[in-house]
Amino acid sequence: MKREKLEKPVLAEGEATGHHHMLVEDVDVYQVDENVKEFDLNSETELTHQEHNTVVLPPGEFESGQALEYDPFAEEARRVAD
Amino acid sequence: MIIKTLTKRQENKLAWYRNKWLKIGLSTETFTLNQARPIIDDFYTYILKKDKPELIIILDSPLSTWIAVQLWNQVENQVVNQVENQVVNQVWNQVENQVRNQVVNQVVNQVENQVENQVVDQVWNLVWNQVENQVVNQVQNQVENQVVNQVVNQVENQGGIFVWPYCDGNFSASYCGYYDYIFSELIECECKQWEMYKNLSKLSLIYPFDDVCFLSQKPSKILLENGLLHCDKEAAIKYSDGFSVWALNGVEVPQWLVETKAEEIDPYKILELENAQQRAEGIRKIGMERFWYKCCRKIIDKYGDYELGLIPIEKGTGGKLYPYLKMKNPSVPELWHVEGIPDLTCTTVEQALHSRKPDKMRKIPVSDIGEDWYQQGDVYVWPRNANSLKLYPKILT
Repeated sequence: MKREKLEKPVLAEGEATGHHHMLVEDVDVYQVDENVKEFDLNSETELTHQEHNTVVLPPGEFESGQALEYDPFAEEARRVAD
Repeated sequence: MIIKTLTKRQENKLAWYRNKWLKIGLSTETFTLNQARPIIDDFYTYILKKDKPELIIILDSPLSTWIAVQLWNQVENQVVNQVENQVVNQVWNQVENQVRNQVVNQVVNQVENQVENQVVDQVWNLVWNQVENQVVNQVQNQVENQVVNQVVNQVENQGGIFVWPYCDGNFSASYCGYYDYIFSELIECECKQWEMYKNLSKLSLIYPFDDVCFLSQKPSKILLENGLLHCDKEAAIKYSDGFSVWALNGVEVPQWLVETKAEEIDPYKILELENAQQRAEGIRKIGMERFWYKCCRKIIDKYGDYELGLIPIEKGTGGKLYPYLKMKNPSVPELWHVEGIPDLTCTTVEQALHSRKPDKMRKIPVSDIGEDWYQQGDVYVWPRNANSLKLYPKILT
């Protein structure tokens, strides 16, 4: 998969809620694989979400991805959709 | 002179603009053709620089408006090219191109750029951010993230591919609220087109084509609780033609989940929902205890609030047992999640939690002296190039 810069620093978006896991600073986030994003933080940065409490991330180079689940009805493993 | 800070009076006004635009964004007031005509005529003449449309057609909901747009587009194309295949993708591309070319380019160039340039020149970034945080984000949370997002999902469920119009009238409330505050309280606006654009917020979705302009009415009902779309008896958004959106605590859910009594819901039907948030709302409705009692045949491990249970799945798999993890939402303690575990052989909560990690992260060895990582809901964040990671996240919310 081609490394692609995202328009917004959003790590995951909710389908049924419109909620999103988003970095509050102006950070470049790249989609590098189907379930891997990359970003670098120069300073402490908040990861926010409308439902979950904020996580303060330290400076550093990071990757992110979404949890996996198995759906026996569809007989498939997939990223958790929320 | 550039504005670097807000005065006390200007700060106090932020809430007033937020409430004003929330009210506009969540308005259920219908409009008439006589009210719409001068607004649309100005929009075509002064912003789009086009002749006024001969026809304005008002439909009752985004779904019926979208169907009308597609039908109109098909008829136009048949006249232009009788032999062309009218497949959905072609219609979609053509509609999108027309709308994008006619609206986005012109509105962006003529209104947004002028407006934004004035603001950038005169308002310091910090002030801009303050207005954004206190007006835009809060209006956006309710109007766009809640109402608009759920309406789009529902139209797509019923009408297939859907092109959201680039002029969305009162649904642009967060954008309008932002500039309304700045131009009313901070700097003078010399852009008449902005006033005309702002007038569009008296209407709702707008599909402006050359000869005809399609408008959707606003919803006849929007029910929110604590800023979240919610109604546990009927649709949370309803349009006058019956097009509706059902939602519980801000999560768009199927109609049956709202309208069936909790005691009559089959827990397996909840388990079958593909969306984790919808499942969580279903479990909240019937109660975690009842859900777990009815579905879980055997609990095989416990750790803190986690329970790993085996659930027999009847459909097509002959009642084979599958591991499911029951988890309490750390940020919303009354909300429970139940998710199937990818490693079907796991026997402990620890193995189950490890199995849920994204593939790339799961391949990194786990060690007591590993690096810290973080988890917010179903999103994992870990240091790139880590040689090893700790077993549990440093922060879990």
